[in-house]
Parts: sequence; structure tokens; C-alpha cells
Amino acid sequence: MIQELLNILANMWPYLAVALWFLIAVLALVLQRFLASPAWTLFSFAALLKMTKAFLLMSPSWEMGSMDFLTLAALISLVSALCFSLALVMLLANYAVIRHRLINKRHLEGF
Amino acid sequence: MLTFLIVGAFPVDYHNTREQLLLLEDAFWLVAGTLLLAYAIAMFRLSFSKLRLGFLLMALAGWMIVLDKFLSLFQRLGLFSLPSWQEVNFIFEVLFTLGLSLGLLSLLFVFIQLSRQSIRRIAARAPHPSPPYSENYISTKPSQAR
Repeated sequence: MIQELLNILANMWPYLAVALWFLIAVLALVLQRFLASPAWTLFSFAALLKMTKAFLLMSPSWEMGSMDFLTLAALISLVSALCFSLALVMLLANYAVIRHRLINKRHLEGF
Repeated sequence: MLTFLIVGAFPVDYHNTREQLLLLEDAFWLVAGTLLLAYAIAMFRLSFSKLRLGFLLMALAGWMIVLDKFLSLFQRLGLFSLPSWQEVNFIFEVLFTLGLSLGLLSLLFVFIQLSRQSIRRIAARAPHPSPPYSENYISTKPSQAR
């Protein structure tokens, strides 16, 4: 039963991965409106890059010059990881600011 | 597209460097996963109960990608080899993508709910406008009915 489900998921996964990464990119862009941090735009860009990678892996294999699609996919994924890391560093910095403000507020209110 | 054109223009043997590129990719995703895990745990501790589900799912996604890339890195370096590595890698990837998307969806749902509540609260606090017409209202203008 589980093996069958895994097989179905494996067959669907290339299409599902593209759809899910697109969804993540859109969700991050919408979240940016609520949380007002440019990090979410970068997060969205990274998700779009991952979507491009998933799309490349979905298409039949090709080779252009000395570069094949697997190398290009790895390159895109590498840039995506860099963008993801940068976005998360910005979000962590934002978290530190929020935490500092909360501690200050509690201190002023005398807990 | 630009990357495609630039890389296609230079006749470099990328087949030898592909393994290095994949190794570098795994290392960077390991860093990104660790940062995602740190951010999700930090926000989970800071936020209130409604938002916690989203951050918990994001933390699980972060944990999945950390495990996946850690194992992948060790596998590529030849430190150990798992017999069913493809299946394990696939399951980790699915859980990472699903966890991240569901976590963001949950966060968005809560934020939309919160913004609706705050709009209702602001509308309830606002003073009611005076009615445009009342029985005591006496017009100073001559009537147009005639």
C-alpha cells in the first residue's frame, strides 16, 4: 500500500514540485505585504529559482555546447540556496530587532 | 536564460566540475536549512499559539532539508553509502517542500484572519456618522419642489 502510494507520488512529483515551488513563491510575496520585510521578496525569488530547477528536471535531457541540463540545474539550485540563506539571515536579523523591542517594552511596563 | 547563454558560450568541460558543483550545492543547502530551522524555532518561541503551527511546519521542513543535505554530503564525499539512498532522498525532498508550503499557507491564513479582526475592531471603535437627515433639520435653502 505504502509502496503504491510512493510510486504514484514519484510519478506525480515532477509536476507537483513545480506547482508547490510556485505556490511557495506566491505565498512569500503575499506574506511580504503583511510582514513588510524585503527578505520575503528574496525568499520568493529563491523559490522561483527552485521552481526553474524542478522544471528543468521535468523536461527531457538536453545538452548545449559543453553544458548539460543537470549541471545547469545544479547551478540554479546553488544560486537559489544562496538567495534562501541571505533571505533567512535578513529574517533572523528582523527577529532579533522584534525580540529586542519586546524585551524593552516588558522592561518599561515593569513586567 | 543569461546563465544559459554565458555558460554555453564558454567551451569548458563541465562534466568534471559537475560533482564539485553538486557538492557545493549540498553545502549551501545545508547552511540554508540550518538557517531556516533556526528562524522557525526562534519565531515559534516568540509567537502566540495561532502562528505556532506555521512555524512548526517550517521547522520540520528545515529539519528535513538539513538531514537530507547532511546525508547527501557524506554520501558524495564517500564517507558512507546507504543502499536505498534515492528513496530516502526523495522522501526528504517531498517532506521539505510540503512542510515549507503548508507552513507558509498556515501563516498566511492566520495573518488574513488577524487583519480581518483588526479591521472589524477599528470599524467598531470609529464614531458613527450623524444621519444625513433628521426631523430637527431645517433647511436654509429654498425648496426645489415648487
